Amino acid sequence: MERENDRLPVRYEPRFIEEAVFLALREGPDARLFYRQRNALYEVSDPDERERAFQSFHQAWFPRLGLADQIEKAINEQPLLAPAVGLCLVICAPARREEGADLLVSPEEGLSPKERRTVRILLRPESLRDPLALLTFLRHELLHITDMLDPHFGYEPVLPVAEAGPPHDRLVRDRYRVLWDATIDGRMVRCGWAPESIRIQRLNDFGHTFPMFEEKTGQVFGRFFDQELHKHAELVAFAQDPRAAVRVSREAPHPGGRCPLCAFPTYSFKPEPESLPAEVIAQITRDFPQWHPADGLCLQCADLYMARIQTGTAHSGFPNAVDLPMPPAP
Amino acid sequence: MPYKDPDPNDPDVLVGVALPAHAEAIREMAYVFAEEFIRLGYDGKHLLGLFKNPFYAAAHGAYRALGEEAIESIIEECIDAWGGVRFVTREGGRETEP
Amino acid sequence: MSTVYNWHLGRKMKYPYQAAYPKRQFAFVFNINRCIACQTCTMACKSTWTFSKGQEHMWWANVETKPYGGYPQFWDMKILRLLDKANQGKQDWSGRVSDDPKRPYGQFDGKTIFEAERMLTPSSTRVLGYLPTDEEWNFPNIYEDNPVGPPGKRFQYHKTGVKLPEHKTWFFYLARICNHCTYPGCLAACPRKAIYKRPEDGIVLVDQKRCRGYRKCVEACPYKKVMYRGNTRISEKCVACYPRIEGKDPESGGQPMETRCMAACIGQMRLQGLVKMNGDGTWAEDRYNPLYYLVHVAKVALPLYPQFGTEPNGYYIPPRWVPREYLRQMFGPGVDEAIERYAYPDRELLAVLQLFRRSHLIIFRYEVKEGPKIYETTHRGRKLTVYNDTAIAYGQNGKEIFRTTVEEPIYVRPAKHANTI
Repeated sequence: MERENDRLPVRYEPRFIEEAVFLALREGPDARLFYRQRNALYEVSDPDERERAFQSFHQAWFPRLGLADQIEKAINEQPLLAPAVGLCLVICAPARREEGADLLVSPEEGLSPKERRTVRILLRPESLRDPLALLTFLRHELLHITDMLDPHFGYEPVLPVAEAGPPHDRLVRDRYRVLWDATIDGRMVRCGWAPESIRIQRLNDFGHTFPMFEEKTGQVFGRFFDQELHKHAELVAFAQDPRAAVRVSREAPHPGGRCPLCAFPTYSFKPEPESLPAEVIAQITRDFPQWHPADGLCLQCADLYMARIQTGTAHSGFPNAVDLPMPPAP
Repeated sequence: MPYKDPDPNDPDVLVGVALPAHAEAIREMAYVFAEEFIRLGYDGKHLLGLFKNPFYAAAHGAYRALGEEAIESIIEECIDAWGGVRFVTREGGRETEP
Repeated sequence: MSTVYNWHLGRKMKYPYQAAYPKRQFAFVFNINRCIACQTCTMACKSTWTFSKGQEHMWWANVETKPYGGYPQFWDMKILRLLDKANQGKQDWSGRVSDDPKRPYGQFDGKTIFEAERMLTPSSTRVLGYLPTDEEWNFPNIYEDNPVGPPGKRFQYHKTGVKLPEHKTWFFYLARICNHCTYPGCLAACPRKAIYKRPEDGIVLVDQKRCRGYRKCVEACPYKKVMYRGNTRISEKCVACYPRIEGKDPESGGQPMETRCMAACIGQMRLQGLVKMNGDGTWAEDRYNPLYYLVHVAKVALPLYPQFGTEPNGYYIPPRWVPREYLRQMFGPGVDEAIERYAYPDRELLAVLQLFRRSHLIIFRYEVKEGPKIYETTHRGRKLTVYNDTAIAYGQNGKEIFRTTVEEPIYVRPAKHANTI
């Protein structure tokens, strides 16, 4: 008797199978036989029956051409999948950038946790034509899924909401993705599933996403790429406050950091804040006594203070000027 | 959602790419619009309105690139050439204008 | 492989079948200078022919922004690249544009899609081509109106502006339907001979009973105007609205009528007709057929990518403002002359241009009745004389369809100013 946890059942979208078989057979030696058999199905007059006949015909050819091999190999080498997931669906991706794997969890009641979970793999049929690249891609994607299932990793589907609002949410999400990819590709390299060269790619991504580490970038990156057993919470904490996590001192403002005046995250810090007019700096330090030009400020705050000074100057030039209340500090 | 950012590494995607053009291309384009529309029966006022309307991207692009004075002079020149004609079509005894 | 004569190329070329020509050929002229991409033609076609399940991605008629767009995406770039790969740096023309109707554009010395097939594997392939991906079919007009910014930098468009995205350089709108080619790539590639060219009007059709969805036609058509329908597993294409061409539309009174996309054109940039053919595949001289006049006499209308070798029957008056090198690649060596003549139209050309979209019936013959000179002026440094001419269009039955006259406008002074003269 087959044990329940032996294999994860895989269901393929008929269109995916049909396209994959069509592409594989366009130039193959079996094309003639395939078309001879397939052409006969056009003669089935009932449309529903004809559709079923085409589907089962293509389904029979799909494994015969070895098209399922890499997908099933990648699934079966992940021990956490079969005991925890009810079904794996493989469907057509409309474009290369849509390819990937997701873990879907049904909200339906009365099902066991296993029954509620489905792994959905989106692939273009064309991708089956390069088995090696396909296997590498699937292994990477399925490691994400096994992390989600692994209690040690402690995955949470929703990232905590950033205090600084939606712009920061996106920043945290991007950082989280880069960190998680680094841990996965590190594991891939150690299993011999990915070439060593992938380290450079992930390091580049890391460097772009965390520019604040400068010469320490490689060292900090190694913590994720080279070490096993990461936790979701640790990645989130790092994504939210990378400086705290590695105890980097508060230095110059960094892209994606917060403006010390308005506290919004920004990529647009005012260049050379020390060259702001003296009365602007004086006004800011009146409102923010702790602030120093080296702490930086965003362009919007700089514009606001410049405008306030200019308005004040213009206003005082009017005859019979009365004191106007200044606009509130940001 | 299929509509994502274009892939900047794809040499076929021309988004974010400026193509070299002869300096006169925009002036020529403005002339073509002016001539075609005047032959269709537009008058100068309506035609200038079309150039000024940002909805007509190509015509408005020419308007901004060349300036109102240049567009007015193109329109005037084309009216001198083609504004004096009216094409009248008779079909089955009915008279229609384009 | 047989040898056939391709007058677009001015030479013989290889083709998998022997030459056979229809009595009359469906052909059309699109004036790009007038197209505003309103997509009325596109929708007219879609709502007539491709509104059913499985046809969602099918646009037999489409309008794309060149050079930014294409349907399917990159179709022309991809086939040009394949041809260039097959015959690197040698896709050239020689000779010159002439009045010889057998070689009006000189001679193409490069390789056509039928001649470059040898670089292909397997050897059974008859035509150089490629199969577009689903993604390329699925999003017509995608990115065509995206803004220009620094190349390769995302999210950096218009940092300081709040304007709508727009191209900061030249572009034009290319309206396309099936060209009902004289040497169709789709027909040549079909392993089941399911595609045929009608002997009465040269319209190219897919026999829906014979087609078995091999998609060789989709791969072979360089203009990518054959489309595969997934739910029937059969390929489909533009049928040139053949019931209208046959005069079976109740509105036509039994006379041949132009297709839906032509009739719907609000920019008045389309003219379609049927041209008489010689036994050798060239157009029989028919001086007063407006299509013959525009293609062979005035030479303002040029075939789309003649170097592909299919002898397409769609002709375009090229846009005047686009860099010539780009236009020469797209329409062949006749571009400079065509633009020169179109920009400064003579008396007859001006009259024939008035035949566009005045009627839905197909014009088989026109006549220009010359009238007196109305005025003389100069335009862009050239002398321009305008006459009170009348263009008369006749149908297949020889009856007059309509007449267009050039008149001096008469301004009627409003009554309240009547005595101010």
